[in-house]
Amino acid sequence: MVTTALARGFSVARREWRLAVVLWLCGLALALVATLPAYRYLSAATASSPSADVLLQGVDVAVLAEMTAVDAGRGWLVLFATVAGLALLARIANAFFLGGIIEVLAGRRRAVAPATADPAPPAPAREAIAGRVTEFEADGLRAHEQPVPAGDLGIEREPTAATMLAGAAVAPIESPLAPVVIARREPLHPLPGAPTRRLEMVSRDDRPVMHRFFRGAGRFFLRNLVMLVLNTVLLALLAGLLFVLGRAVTKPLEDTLSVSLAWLRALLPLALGGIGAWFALMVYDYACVRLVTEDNRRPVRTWLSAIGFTARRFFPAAALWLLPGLLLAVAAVVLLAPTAGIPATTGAVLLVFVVQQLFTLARAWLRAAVVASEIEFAAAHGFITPPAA
Amino acid sequence: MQVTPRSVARALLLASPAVVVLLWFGVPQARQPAVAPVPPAGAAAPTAPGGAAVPDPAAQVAAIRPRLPEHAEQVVEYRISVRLDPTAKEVKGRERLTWRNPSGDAVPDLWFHLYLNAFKNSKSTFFKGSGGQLRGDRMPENGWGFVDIVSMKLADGTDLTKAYTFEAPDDGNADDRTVIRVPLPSAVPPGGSVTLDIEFVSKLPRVFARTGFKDDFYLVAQWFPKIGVYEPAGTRGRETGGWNCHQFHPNSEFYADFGRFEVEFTVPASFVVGATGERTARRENGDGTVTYTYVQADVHDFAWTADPNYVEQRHRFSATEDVTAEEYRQVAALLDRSDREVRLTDVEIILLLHPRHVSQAPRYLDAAKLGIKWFGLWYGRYPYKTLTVVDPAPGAGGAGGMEYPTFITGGTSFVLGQWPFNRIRAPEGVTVHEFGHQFWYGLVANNEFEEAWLDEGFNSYSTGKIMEIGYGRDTALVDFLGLRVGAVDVIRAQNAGGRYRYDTVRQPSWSYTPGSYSFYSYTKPEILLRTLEGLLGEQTMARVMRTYHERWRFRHPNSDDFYAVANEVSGQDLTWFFEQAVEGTQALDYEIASVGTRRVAKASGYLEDGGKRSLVPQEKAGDEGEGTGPFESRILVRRRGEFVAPVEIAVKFAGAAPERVNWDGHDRSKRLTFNRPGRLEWAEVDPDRTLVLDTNWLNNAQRVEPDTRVARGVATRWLFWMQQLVAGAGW
Repeated sequence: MVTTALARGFSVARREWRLAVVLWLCGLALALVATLPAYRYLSAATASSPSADVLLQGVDVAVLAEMTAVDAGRGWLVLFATVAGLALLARIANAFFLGGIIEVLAGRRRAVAPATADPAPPAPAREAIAGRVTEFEADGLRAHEQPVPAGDLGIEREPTAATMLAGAAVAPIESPLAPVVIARREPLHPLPGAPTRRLEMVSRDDRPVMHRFFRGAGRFFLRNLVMLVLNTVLLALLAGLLFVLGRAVTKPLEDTLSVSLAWLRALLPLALGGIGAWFALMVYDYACVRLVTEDNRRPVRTWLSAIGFTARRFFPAAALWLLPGLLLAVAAVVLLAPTAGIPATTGAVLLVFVVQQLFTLARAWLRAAVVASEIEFAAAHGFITPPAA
Repeated sequence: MQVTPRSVARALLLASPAVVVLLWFGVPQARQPAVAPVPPAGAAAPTAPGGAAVPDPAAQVAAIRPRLPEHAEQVVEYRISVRLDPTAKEVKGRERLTWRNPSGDAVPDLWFHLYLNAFKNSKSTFFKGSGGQLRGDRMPENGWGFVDIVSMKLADGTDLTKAYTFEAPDDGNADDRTVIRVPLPSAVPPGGSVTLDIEFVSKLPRVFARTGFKDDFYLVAQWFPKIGVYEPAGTRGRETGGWNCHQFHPNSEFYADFGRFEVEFTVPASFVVGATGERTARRENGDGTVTYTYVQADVHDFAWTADPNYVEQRHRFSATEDVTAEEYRQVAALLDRSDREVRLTDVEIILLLHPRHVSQAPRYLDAAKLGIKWFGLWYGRYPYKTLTVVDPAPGAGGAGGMEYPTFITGGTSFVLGQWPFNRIRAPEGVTVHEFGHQFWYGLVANNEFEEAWLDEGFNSYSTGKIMEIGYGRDTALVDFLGLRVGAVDVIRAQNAGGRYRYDTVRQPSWSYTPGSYSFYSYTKPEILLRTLEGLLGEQTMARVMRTYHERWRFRHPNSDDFYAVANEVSGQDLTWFFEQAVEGTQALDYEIASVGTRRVAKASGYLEDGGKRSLVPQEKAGDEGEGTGPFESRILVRRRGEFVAPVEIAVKFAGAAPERVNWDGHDRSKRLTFNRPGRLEWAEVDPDRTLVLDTNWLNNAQRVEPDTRVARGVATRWLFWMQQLVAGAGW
């Protein structure tokens, strides 16, 4: 299940690559807000002083201290306030961004009929297909699969997941969140010899990614924000409690003579606290996924249900983060490590900038992949279902 | 004084902008600094051509060169026998003290330190001053300790137990119990001696502020009744002889006379021990205990440690293998001493390591050898046969980073043993620093109560230079994930902005403005000594320090004695420097206030030429800065602080090599005007950075054309991290 969700998530993220660009641009715009004051401050403090050129080689604590002393630290205070403000803004913006991310990713529909070889053109209004069919019941929001012979299915394009099940529908797909074909209940007439077709990635929402992103971001912002506030409390409590628990559990190791046990003493509380924080972050993701895909207006209830869902499936849910995390680490090593020793010439600064932006773009894409995988994962476990008509 | 990994980390943190900002706002406004003598007007910078005639230092040194003393005058002799009670955390026993009157006075009484009584209760001067906190370490709850004199008798049996009185010479605190005065039935005649038998009990505190226990770890220091120093007239500027015996203050350390210690202590057989001096005996008592005997002469204190968990390693510093013949030759030439005079001797290095830190033994060892080598080469060989390096137990950080004769405590953490944290050189820095105290506090035994800088400051100066030799100038302290911190970086960061300007370096250690003891006794002295080195040159400074050490080894100098040696060896009257840097509060800050360059405009107006008058029109506005030269360049150099010192000013014109001019620094500013074919590119005051005392090097230079490379480069990386912040918090 984890592998399938990851595969589908990465596939969706690959096809929605524009989403990563949107995220990168949004991040860049916010970061620039905090960078421009820094540039102005640094320029004023260093441009006329050759003594500051040592900063081209890296951090110089003495120069930084002297810069601080010159204006009694006011410049740094402004910068720190800017960073703190940016962090707060970014955290709040999370409620905004995540709505857009999920809207884009969950809006992508596709239909995959097995045993197909050649990609087909976009699905026509009606298509003869065969394969395994998942049938939805609109009222109970339950799905079950049943084999369907090749036949003539009525196909209706729906713009979003929220309206996907207008009417009892049959989606000839494996994942209920990636249906591209919504089939009306019509008599199925087997067509002997009809070719099996693969309906390749037909978006049900042809509007631009930017449009969908900001539509979803704006539409779900306040509801996500409610859940974000709740989740921040959860994160703090959980991480704190687990850290304290870790400290208590390892207390007997305080004076251990063993280096290994000393490491355990040092790291276990941090690890437990980190796991608590990780759990809370996943809770928030799943809560947003459910709220957005269902377009429901019960953020508190949704968030509570996400706690239960995540708690019951903590390990597989956490496993979804591992591969992207690993890839991010690889990207950091491959992209960032070589830039560490580059001299600060104008060309090198430009090169470093490009590489850093590539890394940031890769990070945005991996985040999209994680969310897409979580959508698949939630859908596969029946945690999310489209709303009834 | 204590330098622990924590204090090293704090020093590094001090350099971080955030902390600097906080510190800045925590400091009140500057008061008007006192007026002090300044260098003669018109004096040139030391490197200036055509400067004042300076006698040949080498010739002077040759004329006044002292010998390196081999032994101290033995003023005291202690024979101590004690037993450790690990249950009660007490040390019980007796000492036989023989004190010889070194003066020409008849001395009617004896003064003693009872240092452990600083931990007796919350009424002690130490506790009142520290509030139970010292240098980031907090006194454990109910961690009290004390020393009680059970009995005190003269050798003839005369009982003095009831005779002594508690004294509080520094603050009059009637509740302080750290100093006693013992009146004698008859005065000790000049050159005579007196012997006392003292029975005492020392209840050790939970480890805090240099001494105590934690579980089975014991650092037994400042633990026995210790006689003060009777200073004959003339010692450290005294006009009349008298006792010098201060109370124990939070920031003050120690002062004692040299002598011989023979100490035997009994501990459970499972304990591994170490102590000042050489172990001369180990005796199994048959009751599960072992008695160790240690002996050391020419020292003024004794400390020991015990812990069943210690891993003991013994190594050797070899005077022939750890120092090359070339190094001996170079140092001898630098100091103008013979090879024989700079020759070192072998030293046995005993490491007592906590099991968690055994993997860091090579770091301790290398640092100890580094110290033995360079302190010895520069100042005179280490005169003892052993050096014991103690690695305190985890959680006993209060015992770390401390020095006693032939015995130092280091400090590390298991984390610092792992990459990349092993690039933070805290264990090395602490070890070199504490070892360095052997040469200042230990051998040039100044009064740490009254002039701490002569120990801490001289030692910090020496430590910084040795760390640079051992670990690189730019990475002496930290080479961690791209962050490189050298010794000068840290002291510059602490000195930045001249925040500390309320106290003088030379004043009693308990009288500094709260929170500034460290700066005035460690940092500023290191800075001023580096500045002095910049002014005198490396060679002359090395000879000053060597001569001072040789002359005052096994003695008790004060600041004036150092000034005298510096003047004598350098051939200069450096009073102007010491009165500002050590005795004064002036801040030093020179800056290039403004620079400008413009093409010299052609003459205009009615010009006469050979009797002919012609009207030459003025150049249009804006043309002055364009075209080819000549150019008139103007530079305004300003002395922002009250500290006056001669400086050099370097100026660079396009197409030409930098030029240098001298300024005596007397006036508050100096205007320089140059007419050169090329434009002025930049100007810089003190281009060689000899004046480390300068509180802001950033304003020492100025370009004519701004260069935003730094801003662009740093802003690029800043942008990246801001993006990661947004990504982490926002996505």
